[in-house]
Amino acid sequence: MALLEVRNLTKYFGGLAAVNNLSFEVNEREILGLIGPNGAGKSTLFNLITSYYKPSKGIIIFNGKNITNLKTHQIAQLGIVRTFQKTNVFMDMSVSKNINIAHHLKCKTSDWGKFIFNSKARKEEQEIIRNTDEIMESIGLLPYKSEQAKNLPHGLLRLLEIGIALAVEPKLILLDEPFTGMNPNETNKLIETVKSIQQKKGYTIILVEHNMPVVMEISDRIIVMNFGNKIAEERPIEILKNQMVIEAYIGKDTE
Amino acid sequence: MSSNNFFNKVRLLKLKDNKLIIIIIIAAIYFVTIPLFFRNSSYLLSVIIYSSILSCASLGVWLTFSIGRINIGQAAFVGIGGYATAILMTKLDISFWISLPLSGIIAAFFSLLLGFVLLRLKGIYFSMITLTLTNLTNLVFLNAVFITRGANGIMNIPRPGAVNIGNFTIIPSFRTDNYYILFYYLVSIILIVCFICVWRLYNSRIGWIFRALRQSETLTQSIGINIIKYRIMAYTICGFLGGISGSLFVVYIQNIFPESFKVADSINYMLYCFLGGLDYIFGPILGSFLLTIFFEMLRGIQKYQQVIYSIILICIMLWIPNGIFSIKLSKNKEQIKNLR
Amino acid sequence: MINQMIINAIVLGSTYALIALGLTLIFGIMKIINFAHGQMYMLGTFVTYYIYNISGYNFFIALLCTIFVLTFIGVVFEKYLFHRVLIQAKREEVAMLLSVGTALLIENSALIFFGEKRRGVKPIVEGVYHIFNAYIPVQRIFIFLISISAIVIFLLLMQKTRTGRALRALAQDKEVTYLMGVNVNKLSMIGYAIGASLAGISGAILALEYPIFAGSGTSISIKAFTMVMIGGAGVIPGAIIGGFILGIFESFGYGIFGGTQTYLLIYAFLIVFLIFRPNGIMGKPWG
Repeated sequence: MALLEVRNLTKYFGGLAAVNNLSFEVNEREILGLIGPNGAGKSTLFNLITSYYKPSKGIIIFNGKNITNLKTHQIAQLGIVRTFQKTNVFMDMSVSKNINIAHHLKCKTSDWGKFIFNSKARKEEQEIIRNTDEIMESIGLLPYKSEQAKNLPHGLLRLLEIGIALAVEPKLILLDEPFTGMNPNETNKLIETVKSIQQKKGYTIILVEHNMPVVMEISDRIIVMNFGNKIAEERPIEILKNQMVIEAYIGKDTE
Repeated sequence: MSSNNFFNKVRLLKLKDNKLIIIIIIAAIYFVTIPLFFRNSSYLLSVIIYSSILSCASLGVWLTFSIGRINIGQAAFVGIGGYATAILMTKLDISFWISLPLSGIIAAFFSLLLGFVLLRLKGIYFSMITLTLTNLTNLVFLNAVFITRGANGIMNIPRPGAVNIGNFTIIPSFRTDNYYILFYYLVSIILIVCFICVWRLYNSRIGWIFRALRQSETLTQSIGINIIKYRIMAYTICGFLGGISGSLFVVYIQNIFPESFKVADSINYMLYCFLGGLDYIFGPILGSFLLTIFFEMLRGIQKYQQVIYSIILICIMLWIPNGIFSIKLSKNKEQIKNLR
Repeated sequence: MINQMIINAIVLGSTYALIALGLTLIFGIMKIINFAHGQMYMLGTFVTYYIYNISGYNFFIALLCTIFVLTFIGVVFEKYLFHRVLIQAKREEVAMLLSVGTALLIENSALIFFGEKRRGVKPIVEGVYHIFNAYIPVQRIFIFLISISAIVIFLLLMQKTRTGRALRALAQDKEVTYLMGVNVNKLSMIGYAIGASLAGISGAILALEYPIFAGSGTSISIKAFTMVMIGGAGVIPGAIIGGFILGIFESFGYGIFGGTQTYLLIYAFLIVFLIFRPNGIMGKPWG
């Protein structure tokens, strides 16, 4: 059974279908690349999966459960987390605090317990602090742990976003153009990180990205979208030869 | 040997928590010095009493600021709490000591209900609707004549009575001549308790969720936090504090009318938070005290009171927009930078 | 009876729409609520009182003076107060508080200068028409015509003139407008002044019908907010719709229910309405 299944997913904005009758599956421990020209509907798809938008038609099934009508935080509880196209972190908090807060779902103490900071809360807090350090270490942010997020350069912020996603310990991570604006150094570092979280932690990843070499290198499979439709779904090597994909990006040869 | 241990402990305390010493000093001033010296100055006591009650309401507003909302409707809940106490005490003969928490709960109940609707609005829409909320409650109090006596208001609300267990008096009756000092202790204790609770809440994981809500609701949702639940939590606690504040007011001034708590008051509670500094829990309390005292000092030129007040407000926004606490803090940062 | 209420609704609605337009314009270009909007209305009433009623000049001269005074205040406020604060403030709430401060300043200064006395203004034209089974004082028609003219002039300004287009661009995207070479600072000043003037003009007009007093600002501000909440903030058609809807509610409310209960129902309706349309009829979501 596939981890995530999207069936006939459609989203209309006014008369325009941002996502049109889209169907695909993602298997566990897979890295699925999602590419397509700007406006193809990739971010819309992420918004639909995580319930920031409600679909006009179609359903989304995660781990055998229909999650189409659930709220965003419920979907996170079930194990789907995403990053955003535009960097989204808690700017006025330190790096460690950002990741610490993201451990919310791991914290089983009741709200009242948190308020009075009973022994259970204290124990969990120590656990969370330890885990936060681990995560920061694994993505290379440990030297910056006390730094305010707003003071970080772009590349580190992107890493922080991933750190936040990791803290939730999801089953499926949706990465929305994480490589944007990164220099080659940062890019390589991030490729390593993404590969390692898939291998070590067994996470499943859907990666939206414009950086072609990266997508080719990381993905096990690639889906290509254009104008809201899926126009191809193949292994990376095959994609390069796909006529429709080339047309989508470059346009038809008018001769 | 034991004295050595003692001094070691004190030193450890000091090293660990400078704040603790400050707190002890403040507590001493509050509960010993002031009553000792000003026991008979009902004027000074009344200023402190008044400021303290305002602080409770402002503390609630501060909590909604902490989740990123500008709440200009607190007077509505102060009014609800006030009328609740007034009705419970005059019509149902219920003791103040039960009416007080009950009023808080009633106000919290209404803010819970309203929160579901109002908190869906963001930004200025939220602020504007909270503004009309105060008007709404004024009109409800005016029109619900059968319980609130409408424009006639409720008067002669009794002051708190004594609490006795058997022959032992735990709380003396306020219906005597030196009720000022009693009120002083009452509102001070309540304010301190409220402050400690808000402080504890804000420093817990829940408080950090509030901070997250203020900075990015979308991110907060995506990491699995139920933003609706925590928004409403903040707003409900705000309503509770408003209700407590209203209850205390009403039993202090001993009457209530539909217009006792209106839009201007809602705006004031918000202003006190600003003046003290939105980033500091102590801000609303500092703001309430400062502005109340300031207002009293201007009493001589009553006519120009409000104008001067508004001019000062504008000046504050121009020159110390981040509140009074922030000036101190930025000076410290400068010094540290220069030391490096 | 119904015809009477409809006529009242239309007249009131047109003037209310003018108030809402001013507020929505200021919100659109500066992203702050002009808390002093009602107080600017109030200034309009007083300028009219002194120039038209006391000094006996032509009403239109009073109208021009109103525009002049409010433009002056608008420019001064924007340039020396809001402009500074919008640049420096760490939190966005500061501008809003400044707005509250300006409202308090105007209202309390007015209370000092003008006192608390309620005044009235002599009618501009006598006579009553009897049409459609309703009584329409000629003055109301006059008020209606001025309101509608002002609205039309404003709409033409926004659509056809360069300044108007620039203002609309500013409301949509400040950065892009700036990058296109528009002097955004001057434009904000102009926009704020126009918004203030619209409030003042409404004041001048309604001074003919309603009592004038220094404290009249607060309730007008709240009405303006209500209109913008119903119609949608920052959107011109929204303001007009909101204005007329409130006019209709008020006229019918006063006609059917009487004084205090009308607004009680309006606020209750507003809260219920906002459950379904949190951004108003035509508003864009905030943030």
